[in-house]
Amino acid sequence: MVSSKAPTPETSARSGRAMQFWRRGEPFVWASGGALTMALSLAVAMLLVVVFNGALVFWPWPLMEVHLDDGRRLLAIEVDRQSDPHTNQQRIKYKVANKEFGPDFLWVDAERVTEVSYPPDAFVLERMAFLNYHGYLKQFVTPTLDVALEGSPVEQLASAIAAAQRRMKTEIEPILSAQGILERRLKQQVEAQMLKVKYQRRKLIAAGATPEQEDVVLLNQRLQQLEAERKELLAQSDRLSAERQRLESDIRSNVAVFVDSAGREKSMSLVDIVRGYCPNSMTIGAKLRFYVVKVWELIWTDPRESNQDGGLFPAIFGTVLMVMLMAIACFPLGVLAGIFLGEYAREGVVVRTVRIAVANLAGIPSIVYGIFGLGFFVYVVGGSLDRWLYPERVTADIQQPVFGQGCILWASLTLGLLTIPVVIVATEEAIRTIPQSIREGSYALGATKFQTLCRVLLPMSSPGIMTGFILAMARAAGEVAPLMITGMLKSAPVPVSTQFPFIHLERKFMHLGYHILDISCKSPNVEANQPMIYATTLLLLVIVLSLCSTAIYLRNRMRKRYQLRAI
Amino acid sequence: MQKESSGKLAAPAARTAKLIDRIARWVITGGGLLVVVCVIFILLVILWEVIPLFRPPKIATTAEFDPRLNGASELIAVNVSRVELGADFGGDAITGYTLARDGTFTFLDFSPSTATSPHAAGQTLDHDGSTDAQTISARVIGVRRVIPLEKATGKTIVAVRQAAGRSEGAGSDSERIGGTLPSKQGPASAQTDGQTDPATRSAVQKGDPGTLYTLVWSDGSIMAVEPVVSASFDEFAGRKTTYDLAVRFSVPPQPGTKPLQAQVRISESGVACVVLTEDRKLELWREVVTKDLFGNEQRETVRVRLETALPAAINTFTLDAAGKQVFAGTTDGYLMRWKLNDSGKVVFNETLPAFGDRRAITAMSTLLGDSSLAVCDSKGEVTVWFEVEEGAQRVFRLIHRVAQHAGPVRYVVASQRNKGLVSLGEDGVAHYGYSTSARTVCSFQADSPLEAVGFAARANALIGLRKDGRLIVWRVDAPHPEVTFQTLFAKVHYEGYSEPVYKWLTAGEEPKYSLVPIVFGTLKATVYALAFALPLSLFGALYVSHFTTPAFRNFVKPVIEIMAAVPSVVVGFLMLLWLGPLMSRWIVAFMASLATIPVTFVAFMLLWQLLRRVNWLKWAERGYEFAILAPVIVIGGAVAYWISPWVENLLFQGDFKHWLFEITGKPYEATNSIVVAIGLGFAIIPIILSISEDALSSVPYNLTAASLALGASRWQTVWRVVLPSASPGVFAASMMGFGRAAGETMIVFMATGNTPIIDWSPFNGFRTLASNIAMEIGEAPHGESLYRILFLCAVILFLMTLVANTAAELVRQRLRKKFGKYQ
Repeated sequence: MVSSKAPTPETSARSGRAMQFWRRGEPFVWASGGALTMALSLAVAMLLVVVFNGALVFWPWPLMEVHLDDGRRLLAIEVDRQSDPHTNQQRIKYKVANKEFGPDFLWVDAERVTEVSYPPDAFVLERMAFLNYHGYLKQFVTPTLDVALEGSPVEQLASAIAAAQRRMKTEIEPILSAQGILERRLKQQVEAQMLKVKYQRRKLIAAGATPEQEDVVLLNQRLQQLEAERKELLAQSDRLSAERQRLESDIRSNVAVFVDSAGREKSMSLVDIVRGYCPNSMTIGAKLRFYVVKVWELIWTDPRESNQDGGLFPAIFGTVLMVMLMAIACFPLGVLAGIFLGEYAREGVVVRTVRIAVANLAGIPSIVYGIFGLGFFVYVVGGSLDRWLYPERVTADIQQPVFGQGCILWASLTLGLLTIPVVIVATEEAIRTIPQSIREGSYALGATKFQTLCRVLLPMSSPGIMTGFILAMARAAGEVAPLMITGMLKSAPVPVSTQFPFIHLERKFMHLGYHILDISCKSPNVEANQPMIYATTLLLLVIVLSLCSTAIYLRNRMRKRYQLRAI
Repeated sequence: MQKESSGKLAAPAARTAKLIDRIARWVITGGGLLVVVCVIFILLVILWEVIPLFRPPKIATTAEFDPRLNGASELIAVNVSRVELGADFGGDAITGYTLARDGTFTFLDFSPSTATSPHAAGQTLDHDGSTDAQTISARVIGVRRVIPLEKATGKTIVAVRQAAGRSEGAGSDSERIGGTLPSKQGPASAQTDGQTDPATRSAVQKGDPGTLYTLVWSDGSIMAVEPVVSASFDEFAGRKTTYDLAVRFSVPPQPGTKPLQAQVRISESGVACVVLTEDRKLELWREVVTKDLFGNEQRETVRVRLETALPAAINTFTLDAAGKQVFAGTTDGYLMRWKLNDSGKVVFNETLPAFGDRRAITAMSTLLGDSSLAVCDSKGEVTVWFEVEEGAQRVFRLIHRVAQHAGPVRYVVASQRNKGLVSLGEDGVAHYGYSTSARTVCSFQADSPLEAVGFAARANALIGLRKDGRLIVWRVDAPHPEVTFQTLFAKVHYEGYSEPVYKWLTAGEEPKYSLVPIVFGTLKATVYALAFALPLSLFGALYVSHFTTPAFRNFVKPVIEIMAAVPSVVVGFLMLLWLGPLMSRWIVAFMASLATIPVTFVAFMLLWQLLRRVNWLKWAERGYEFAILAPVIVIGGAVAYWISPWVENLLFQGDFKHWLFEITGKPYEATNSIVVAIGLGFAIIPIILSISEDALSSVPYNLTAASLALGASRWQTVWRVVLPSASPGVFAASMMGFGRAAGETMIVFMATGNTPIIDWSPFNGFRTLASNIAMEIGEAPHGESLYRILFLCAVILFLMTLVANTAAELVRQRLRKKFGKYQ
């Protein structure tokens, strides 16, 4: 076959070599190299998009005053520039903010822009509501605030905000915490007790007791006490509310008046402003400082405005707590099965079945785990727990399930099941990489198999098992589909409190991955959310990929170590 | 052999160690086997939620007794209602009532006696104790007469028709309609015996919708009454049974006519009454109120005859819930219908031969939603009809056959909750038929033929009046009448559609649960994803395993592994907000690049033949081809970008999206199959690449060496020797990629429009099993049809991936065995 197309003497040496290049299939080698390049560049492109967009979210971009040909002026940040492939005309996308006056993003044809300037006194305000504001500071009206305003406008604004916040802290926060305590007493003690008593009474009567019977009467009395207590608590709470409103309106009367590019005045209460800065007059050092502060804020504060702004603390905390619980859940079975496959199993039907099961466990789509978690953990296990512990909450007319709904416990258990195969595979590999000679040495000293396992193999393979855990955590941290079903919430407080039992497993929680889904798919203003989505994505990617790289690094090191020993 | 030595030598410590060793062995083996149990358990749990969909409905008699009270006259109608309350409240609450010929409603409670209200100190009826263990004695909780005893003139009811009532907000309704009643006859609910306190009223309003009975009296007057009986809670006594009776409409005898039958419907737009007169013609009666100068109200009954094209004798008729359509059937098989406008004028009228064999139409009723008509005939068939579009016309057609009786059908009652109906034949057997699924869900037969039946509003109980005068109550547990194998996997003719279709649409009165578009979407997703990912990852794996340098290989493998760890929600978001808009702008350039990149590649290869003669460029052929190719691919892409306006002008008349819409009639969607394929590709490339790379590099070196020694080139060796030997591993990798693509949720959920359509076009979206679950599970109440169907989706997905993963694992095990001996 090779000889059939042998080059004839006439063909020149040059074309013969060319023919050989094609016949030997070299272009196919190149083509397969090209396939790899494309696969890798896809990954690199996506990574770069996330890193680039995510890292630049908090940079204070210059604020430009754009004059349009119709005389309008925009105080805006340029966010995008596109050119039409047919006409080569450019369009610019400006973020004009000031959502209360209209859309916060505008597309403008580049040719309509007549003049661009960078006013040094143009402010960007971050606000509690309506996202950002672009404008010029006009004046402060601070009738009930004791503060000396001096320095640059930015400093003045900062000190005014700080003073207002100080008042909030000293005057409002004690009331809020008192209200919180009242609320907790009302919900967790009085109302829960009332439900219980009512349930007991109802059960008695359903069993045939008459309303005049002694125990029914006792229950009635107890109920009346509780009702009185409830009324008292509500009244106290109302009094506190009134007081708080009075104080708050007093503090809110301190405003800063701003003017936007169209000349519209807007007076904003100082407590509604999170921060104000003039990006055009910031030095590089100030910008860097600003950047660090914003990243710090992202990690350590709560979200604002239905997750569109502010920080991610509850989501980060929820993710970490869930992953921890998950690791505890997947530990026993994962390691046991890994040891079984790595050390105890002898090749045969049983082991092959177990391996097939592991492959399947790894291959079952995560949404199926989610629906299993819903059907089994939430409704079967949670439902039974509720019927046993809180029967008064799950009657035919009252449906306030405690464990019979999605919560962090069921989410963690579901993910624990999902990540078991990762642990199994890693444990098995870790145990197998240990050279046979070490086992033999142990047996020769009279150790039983279990002793060898506990004293020799497990300590030696512990880095490998750790690898499995880290990989499992990475997988769990990024998984969203099962959590959508078994206990995630758009916005929820951290499921930890100072009250017994401190970690509230029956609560719903926030999760970074779900946060991305929520603000990119379920939000009305996706455009304005984009920076936040990129920042969240970058954070999630950093967490997942650093976990994953650590695991891979550890594993490769361990492989290398034992490869050398085996020789 | 060890047993002996241990018996002799072992100190207690050694014996304990042995024991621990043995226990540990069992525990660890158990742990290993538990993995198998886990997989089976997951399947069983999700199957367990699916099984009730296909379980045959359960019916059980719970009560059977003689309801005849002292001296009461013959019963002509019965009804029942069942509320499932749970064990805390003594199980079910079953209540009902009977109507006697003299206009007496007797309200009954069939629930366990301990749980009944202390108010209901009624008389317990005897029951013969011959039914099952759950037999419950019935007690009378009250009696109400439509006409008070002192005003009774001995007239009796000659005909009764039932239809859905409107007990929601009954209080206010009663007042409104009560106002139009003749003053001498106040609402019957005024005849209280001291029980209808305000609390009771509110409880009644919260109950099931009632049933409106149209009574035709022997003196020719017509009356519409709505009895309501329901179980409610109060905080103290647990359950409490309440009842009420309201007269909604009443017409005095009209001179010169004697109604045979009548039906009243009360809707938003008012009261409509259709009367079948003695000469077997239909009349529409409406009450007109006029005010004279002094504000006195003058009531007058306006009678309009509904004209027919044929002189046939009308046998039965019905009026829809909105009072806008009248249907009639004749003794010789003609179906007639009239459409009325708001003021009661006939705007459309049609007569059509319904059955070829001229069988008599004996009963009819509109189904919930007023679009469908159930028609029963003398041959015992129950059929469902509705309007379909044929050409430009809307014609009335027979669509579903839902039940078959042995003899003529006596009457039919439509359910108030779903598209179901209960029909009673002359042979005394009742069938519960369902329109959407075109099936008889269950049948009811007693020892003695049934004379009348009543169907609970929640379709969970049925009461029958037997010929021997005894009442019988069935519990009906048929929670999923609309789901059959056909409705899930075959075309179904839904109301409002001109032909049977595959359709998934869970909103609306007639939910459409065809899984075909969903399964199709799953296949479409995997096909597109594999078409994108397979070539890239297989060739990539070939390159990594055999052509590149070991150093680069050691770098690429962890990179691929990290790529696999990227959370799918991140990929989904990038597809939705980054690639989707990008692709939307540059779709033509993307399509052009499919041509320009290969062309550039070939051009570069031709160029390379010249370049490779330069010695210092030869290093590239020792495993760095991929790096040289990066700029080539970029150039190819740039060429595509550069020529795309020109291509768009040349091929697509300047605007691709417009052109696409003109050609296919479907718009370009920004989140389409191409975008999803790339996203899914991102997810499955690492899997396929790393697994097939493992398989390819596990091919023993002897084979490669032998091939090379025989003079084969490196490509020939890899293509003809390595790839065939490792092909099972490559197959396994593809199967695992398939499994992952089929089950991937977040990418598909975020990056497609999730439209459940059957269309192969790459420019629109789809909905997969996984994204369907993610979309709908939030709105699926526990235990209802949608919830169980979503579990069925999960089962299908589970089985798909089970097959793929098991096959892949088996193949890999064989491969490991085959090559294991060389290593």
